[in-house]
Amino acid sequence: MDNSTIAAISTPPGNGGIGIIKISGPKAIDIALTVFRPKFWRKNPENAYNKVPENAHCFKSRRLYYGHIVDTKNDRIIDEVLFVIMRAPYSYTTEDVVEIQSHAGILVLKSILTILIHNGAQLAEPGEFTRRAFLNGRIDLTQAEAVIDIINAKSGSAIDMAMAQISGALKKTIESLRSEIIDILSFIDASIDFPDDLDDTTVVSGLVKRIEENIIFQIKNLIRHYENENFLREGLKVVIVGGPNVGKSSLMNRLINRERSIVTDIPGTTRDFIEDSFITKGIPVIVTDTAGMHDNPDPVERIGIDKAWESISTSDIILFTVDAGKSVNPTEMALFEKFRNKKIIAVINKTDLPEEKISFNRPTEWGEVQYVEISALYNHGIDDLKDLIAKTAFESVSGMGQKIIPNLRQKNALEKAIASLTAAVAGLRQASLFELVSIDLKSALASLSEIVGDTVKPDILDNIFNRFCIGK
Amino acid sequence: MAVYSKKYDVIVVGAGHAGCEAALAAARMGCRVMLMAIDLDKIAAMPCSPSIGGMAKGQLVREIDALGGEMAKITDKTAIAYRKLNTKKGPAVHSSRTQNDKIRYHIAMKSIIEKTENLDVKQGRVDRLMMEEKKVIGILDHTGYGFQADTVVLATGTFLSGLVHIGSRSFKAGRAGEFASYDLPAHLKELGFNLGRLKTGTPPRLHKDSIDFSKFVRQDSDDPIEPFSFSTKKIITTRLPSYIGHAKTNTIRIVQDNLKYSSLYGGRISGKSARYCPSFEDKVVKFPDRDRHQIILEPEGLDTDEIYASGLGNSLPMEIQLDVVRSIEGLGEAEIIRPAYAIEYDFVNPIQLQPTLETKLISGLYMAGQINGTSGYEEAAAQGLWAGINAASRIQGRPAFLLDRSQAYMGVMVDDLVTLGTNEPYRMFTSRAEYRLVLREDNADLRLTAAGHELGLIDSDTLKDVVERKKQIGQEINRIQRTVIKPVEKVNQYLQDHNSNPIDNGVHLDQLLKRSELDYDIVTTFAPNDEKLNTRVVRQVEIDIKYDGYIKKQLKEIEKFITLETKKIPKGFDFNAVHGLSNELKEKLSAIRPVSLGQASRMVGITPAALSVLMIALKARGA
Repeated sequence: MDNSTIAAISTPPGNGGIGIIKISGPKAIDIALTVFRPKFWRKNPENAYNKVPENAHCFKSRRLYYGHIVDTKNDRIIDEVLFVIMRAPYSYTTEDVVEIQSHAGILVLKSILTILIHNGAQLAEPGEFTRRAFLNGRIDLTQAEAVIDIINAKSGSAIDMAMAQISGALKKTIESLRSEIIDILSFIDASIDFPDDLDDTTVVSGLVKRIEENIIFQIKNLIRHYENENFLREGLKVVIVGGPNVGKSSLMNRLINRERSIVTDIPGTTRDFIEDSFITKGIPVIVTDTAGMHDNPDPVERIGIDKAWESISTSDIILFTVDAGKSVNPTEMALFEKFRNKKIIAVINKTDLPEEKISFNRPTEWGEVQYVEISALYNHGIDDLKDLIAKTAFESVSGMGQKIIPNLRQKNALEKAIASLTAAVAGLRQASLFELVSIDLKSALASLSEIVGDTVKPDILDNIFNRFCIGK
Repeated sequence: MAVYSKKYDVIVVGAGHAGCEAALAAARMGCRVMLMAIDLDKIAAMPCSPSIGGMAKGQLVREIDALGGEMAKITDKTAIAYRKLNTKKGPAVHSSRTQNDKIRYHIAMKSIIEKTENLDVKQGRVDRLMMEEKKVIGILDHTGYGFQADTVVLATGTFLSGLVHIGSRSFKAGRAGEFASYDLPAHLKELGFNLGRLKTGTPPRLHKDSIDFSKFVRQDSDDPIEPFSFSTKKIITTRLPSYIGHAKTNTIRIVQDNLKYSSLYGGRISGKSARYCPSFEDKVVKFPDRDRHQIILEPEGLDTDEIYASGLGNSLPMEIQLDVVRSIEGLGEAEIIRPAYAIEYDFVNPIQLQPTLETKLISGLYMAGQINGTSGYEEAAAQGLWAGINAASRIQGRPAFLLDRSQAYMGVMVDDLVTLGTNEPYRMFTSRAEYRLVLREDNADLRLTAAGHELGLIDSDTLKDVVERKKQIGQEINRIQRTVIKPVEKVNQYLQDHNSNPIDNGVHLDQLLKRSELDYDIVTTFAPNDEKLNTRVVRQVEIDIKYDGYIKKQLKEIEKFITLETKKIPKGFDFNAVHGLSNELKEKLSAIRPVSLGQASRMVGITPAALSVLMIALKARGA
């Protein structure tokens, strides 16, 4: 248990300016360096900028480095940070320790922690840094009792936190998944330990179906909930869609509060899609302007429209923009229909037109879609629109099955469970080697148990004896 | 008080499967040993099923064999049927099971015991221990005669306060027809042991000639067969078939209607029975929806016509037993030779034992087998061997002999017993072993022969053979991993013939061997080894390569497990003085006295935080 590398956010949650993430253990430096991109300023221009050192030895212990933390999955920059390595044994835990000082927003800190975990660190247990410091002789032995109190206190609050984090609904879901796995595992183990009592040759396809449809499906749903909620972390994706020349680019510029899209009167000016971001109610929003959708695009426009579809498919909210001065045309009607399964806000632009020129009527087919009237030209209604975007986002989160949203730790565990269950299914399909399937199911069970904090091994035998008539 | 002049190192009480292995191991290690039993005509008796082995039990028998025990060898000499179970469910859960000639088994064991040097066998009932403060110094038999020894192993089976039940009648008996032992359990209570009560039972025996076997499905022994013992070259015994049939609704109804007459459901039995070995009454009551229950008729031996009616265990009165038996198709005219019965007996909850199976209360006193709350010949034999080795090791000043959960099923069993205790007869199951995949029947010799040799229970030739085999296994795996198979016509034809995807590029041979549809035959076909390899070597190579991923995963888990296991808790460690533990945990820890943080972590109620606290307290005190 002490060969692992642990990581945790070590500053208290709140609105301070700087947050610190601490990593400790034999792989602390390796893991930290896979996500850290230092910037070096040197006299030699060839090496001047963004030169990644050849290896970890290029970093000096206890020296502050400046750079970026990047998401290794897509090379996106998460935050600019100060980075310090404290090599063993000259650190708090006497192990290799890395501290990353980033901006204090909980979203930033969490994303950095996530990335570290994806790269092999484990979330630290309550009081684990202190425990390691003690076990490694860093803290005086007379302090042993104080250390114990810290651990007990922290475990207490961690348990409270776990209880608070794990909503009744999530706990229930996990429990039901666990008992389903225990049920299948009981069958597998019973058929191994009691080959005389159970006939198992015909049930394999049934088991596969149960694992895939009852268990994996549900876990995937939970993970999706996490990812949906993740706009808090990665940004809410909003796409501006509409017919040509309804003022999409103007809207974009107003939202991000600067000139970015080319605004002309010529339809089809926005040929490439343009992405930028703004923040509303604390939510980072990534907004994409798309090419105007119309029926007869030229080949160049065609490319823009295809790209628009791509970003629409991954978006959270669609701003369906129409011209207040025009009545809805069939193309727009058809377009709107295609977005039915998405969250849509209908944005009526150009409401600054004189009243006699307003000819837009809310189509009955659009039903209960939310409308916002704006004038991109005069910057009217933009704040209302931003508020509605935030509100819609929160609704979509809280509307999901009474907040069954796993947190990061829980999501990691769910992903591990899926990997094990997938292996179990493969095992069942391939050769029905129940013994290996049993190993995979036990791993899945252990992962789910982590979520509810239940470390007690399930009594499979107990379940077997209750369910199956066993014995000579 | 009269005392025998000869002084022993080890006295073993009881000559069942536990007692015999204990006495043999200690004597073979060079100790002066006495084995005392109530009836020497019952040495290594099989009072219930005629089977040895089965799931997880087969693994135990192989482990006993690898450590120089006797069970597997005698099984091979006296088996009348062999079966390998679970051959399709994965390599680690293959288990061998035999049926044995009970009388010949007894005779074979008796003669080995009589011929073993340093081993005196005596008939008598042990009623008391001779004590010197908290240390055992010998035993007193039922005549009041004393025998001195530095260590005593109690392997008393079901004899402590044994009470046989049939219907409304009960008899004091160790087994049906044998004297029980009532003084010894009373004495153990006096000494401070906490005794509990368990119940087991056995089905009726029928006369072969009164059975219509045409109504049953015949089940023959496997052919070819693989011997139990690693040392057996060839099996030469005659084999007999078993017969499978079913008790149906008419039989179930008879039992339902007469439940109140059964000892078990008439409220006359307080001992806890094993859930995995339900009596017929239990099956009928707990699974009322089942409309049939399997019956297996197994011969008890070559020289007898008694047939063991597996599945019909009960504690009903004679007249109802007869109705039950005769209601079954094919048994309409069956003659019952011995009735089924239930038996209650005392056991010592094994949390009162150290991992060596020595009691915590009395120095030099060991316990093995059913007295520890277990059930089964194999479980008993394994504990007997374990206790015998440890008693001898103590005498000889050797370190304690302990195997952990990653080394052997024996280790799993002993750790379960001393850490968790039991409140029902404990039987070994493969699902109790976390590291099942590496604790296989087929590799028990590779795992344990060296340890057996170290103890002096295995000769050097056997060890040399195992070492050589290990080397060959390693070399062959290496060779296969380095061999590249080219995508030539012949190869792809072979793959196609075996429903395996053809290859486009050169592929390492181990990658092909990993495919579930292929076996070592592909190696012999396309890249045969220059020397002909022993089938045991081939089997290991195949398993190691095929299950490489899973095996590696378990080895990694074992590594983690070992780190906690090696964090020892010193013998006199005062758990009550540990700051930060709840009183409940302090109490539990003081009672069980785990020897390592690993053992502590498996106790009920231990949290990760409590474990951290313990770790720190140890460090604070130790450093």
